[in-house]
Amino acid sequence: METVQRDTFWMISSNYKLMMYIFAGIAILVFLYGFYRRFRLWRRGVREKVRWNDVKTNLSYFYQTAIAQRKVKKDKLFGFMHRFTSYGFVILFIGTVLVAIDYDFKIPLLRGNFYLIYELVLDVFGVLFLIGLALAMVIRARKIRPRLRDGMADQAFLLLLLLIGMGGYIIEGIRISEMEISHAVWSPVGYGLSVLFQGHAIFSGASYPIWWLSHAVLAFILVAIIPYTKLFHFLTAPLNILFHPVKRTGNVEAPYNLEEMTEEERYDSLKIQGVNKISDFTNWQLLSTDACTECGRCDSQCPANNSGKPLAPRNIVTKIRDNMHHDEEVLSFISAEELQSCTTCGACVEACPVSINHIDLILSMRRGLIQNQVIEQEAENMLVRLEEQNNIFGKPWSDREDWSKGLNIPVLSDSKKVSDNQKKEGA
Amino acid sequence: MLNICILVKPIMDPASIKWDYQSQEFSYISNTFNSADTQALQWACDYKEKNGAKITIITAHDSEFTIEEKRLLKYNIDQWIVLKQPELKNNPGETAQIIAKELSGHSFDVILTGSVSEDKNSGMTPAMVAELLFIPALTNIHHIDVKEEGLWEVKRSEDRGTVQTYEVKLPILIGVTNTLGRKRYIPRYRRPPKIKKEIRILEKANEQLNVQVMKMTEPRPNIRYFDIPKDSLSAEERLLAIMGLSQDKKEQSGKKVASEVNDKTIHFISQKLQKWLQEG
Repeated sequence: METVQRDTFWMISSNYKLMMYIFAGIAILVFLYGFYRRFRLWRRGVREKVRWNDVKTNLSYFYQTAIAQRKVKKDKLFGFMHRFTSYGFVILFIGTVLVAIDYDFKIPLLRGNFYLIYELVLDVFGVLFLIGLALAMVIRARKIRPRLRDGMADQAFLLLLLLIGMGGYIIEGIRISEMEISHAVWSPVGYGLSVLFQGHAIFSGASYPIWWLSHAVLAFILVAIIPYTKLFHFLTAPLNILFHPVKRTGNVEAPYNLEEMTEEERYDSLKIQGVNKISDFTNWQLLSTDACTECGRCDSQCPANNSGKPLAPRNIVTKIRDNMHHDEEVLSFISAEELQSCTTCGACVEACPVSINHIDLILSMRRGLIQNQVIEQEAENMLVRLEEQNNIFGKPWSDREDWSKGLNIPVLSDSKKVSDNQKKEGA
Repeated sequence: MLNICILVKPIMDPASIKWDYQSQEFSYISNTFNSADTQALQWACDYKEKNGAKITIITAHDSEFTIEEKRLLKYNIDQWIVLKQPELKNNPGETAQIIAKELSGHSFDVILTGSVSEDKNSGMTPAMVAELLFIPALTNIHHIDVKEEGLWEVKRSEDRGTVQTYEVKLPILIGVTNTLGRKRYIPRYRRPPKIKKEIRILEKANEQLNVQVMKMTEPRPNIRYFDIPKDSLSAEERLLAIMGLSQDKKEQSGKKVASEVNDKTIHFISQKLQKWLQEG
């Protein structure tokens, strides 16, 4: 009776195996270096500790945003595309990890019924993955979503993923075709292809090692380039959603509470420094910019952007990300007008599928602007008036009670206040 | 590098201060600095940022007067000399004397200050300081151009839009107006530079100058005796109007307003009161 198990290196010579492990080693090293490069930059930021209460709160948010992808689903076509590709990618990635555990760590997992189900699941999700990629390519090629930036690199990433997915099916088809496996129907796509491949020299056992190696090389190229491209969001988006301190839409917080601080602490605290250069951001703020997928949802929802103001929230994020390694003055690459155009409405934060808080970034930089006296004149006049007369109109603060004149509003006289205080003290 | 001295006068904010009729004393007192003086200081700080300069502030005030230091410490100054003297407010002219005495021990390229103070509005101190130091003084300057370090061009507005332009050589005392430049907001919690602060406690002046002392007193009421109350007024406002006591400055006009109670005003008040009682 035929044993149901995975024959991982069927028809692969020891030379090819060696080459694969060398490529894998190089790809992993390049990946790790790329990750370390960004990690080092995040660490330049002001340290903001991970609070476990935040992580607990973020768990349900993580489920809604990263797994159920509720924000992405709001755009139906794009929702299908992204769920197909992301679910497919994750399942295929898990499948590859299981192969490594089974073969390299000698833990027999891919055997019997589990292996059959494994084959079926991977085949089905592989199809979803390819459909999702094809949809994404059509959306970009036909410019169905104007918010997307259509660079060559974006199409190239999709093509690379498509070739990896298709390569997996081709080598599966050749293997089934040559081995005449009895349980081949558990891999319906591979089985179908095996029928088609019958009699074609290019899809024969002799050419199998070439197909296999090319599939492996493309996969390793993908692994290597992830930390250097926007594909880094595969990793940083879930990290950002799960661990970033909770700063939800509509919750504009100051990074300090003046009421809880003494006057001395207010002057000494570093926390109240605004952002003037890259290293003034917190490390989680910096990481969040690496999670940007450049999808443009923030731009499309931003009222300032839509009304012709010089603000594009996506640009703010990508400019910080792209200038992170210089630690330059923020004003050298982001203009004051961009920052001052933000109305803090929160539409960008609400739209962002990877939980980037644009408002938090913008307000941090605005604080820096004020500290550097880069401020719009009318706003500055208002602040001066507030400082001098405790009101934004610059009216004498002694006129503050004038509104109550003639309305018979009872006012505590000084003597009454004193006697009340004495009573309290006595009590 | 220019050595700039700024004379800044601590004052009670004239915009907010009010006479409280009930307690018969001033209320809403807030201590601040003369606005034109801080304009001069802001100009000096802007100049320093572009060209570099050493800025010294000199303030002179009564020993009992409390000043809010942070309002000045936030500026990018190098030195602050505080002159305190008992009963300084009662000795007009003494301020100029002690400032000039202090300045004679230093060598400044230029002395900047406001032309007049918001509280007394006399413009006496800048002119007196310049006179005592034997240097020229120009006041009411609204624009300064630094042509060279020792040669400035300054502008002064006169009536009917005339602008006088002067080319002046340093050292000089320049009194500026509130329109010298843009008033800047300096964040409260910006780290202040290291400032060398010197406080000199001076003895009470012995010699009294023969100058009339100006004092702030209770404002005179405006008694409006020709007005007939409008129907739209509330009962309280009507009563106040009938009695001739009104806060509405727009309604003050010509002979309708008197500050003394006499037979004429009593007659009209009684007439109006009767009208009001008849209406009621």
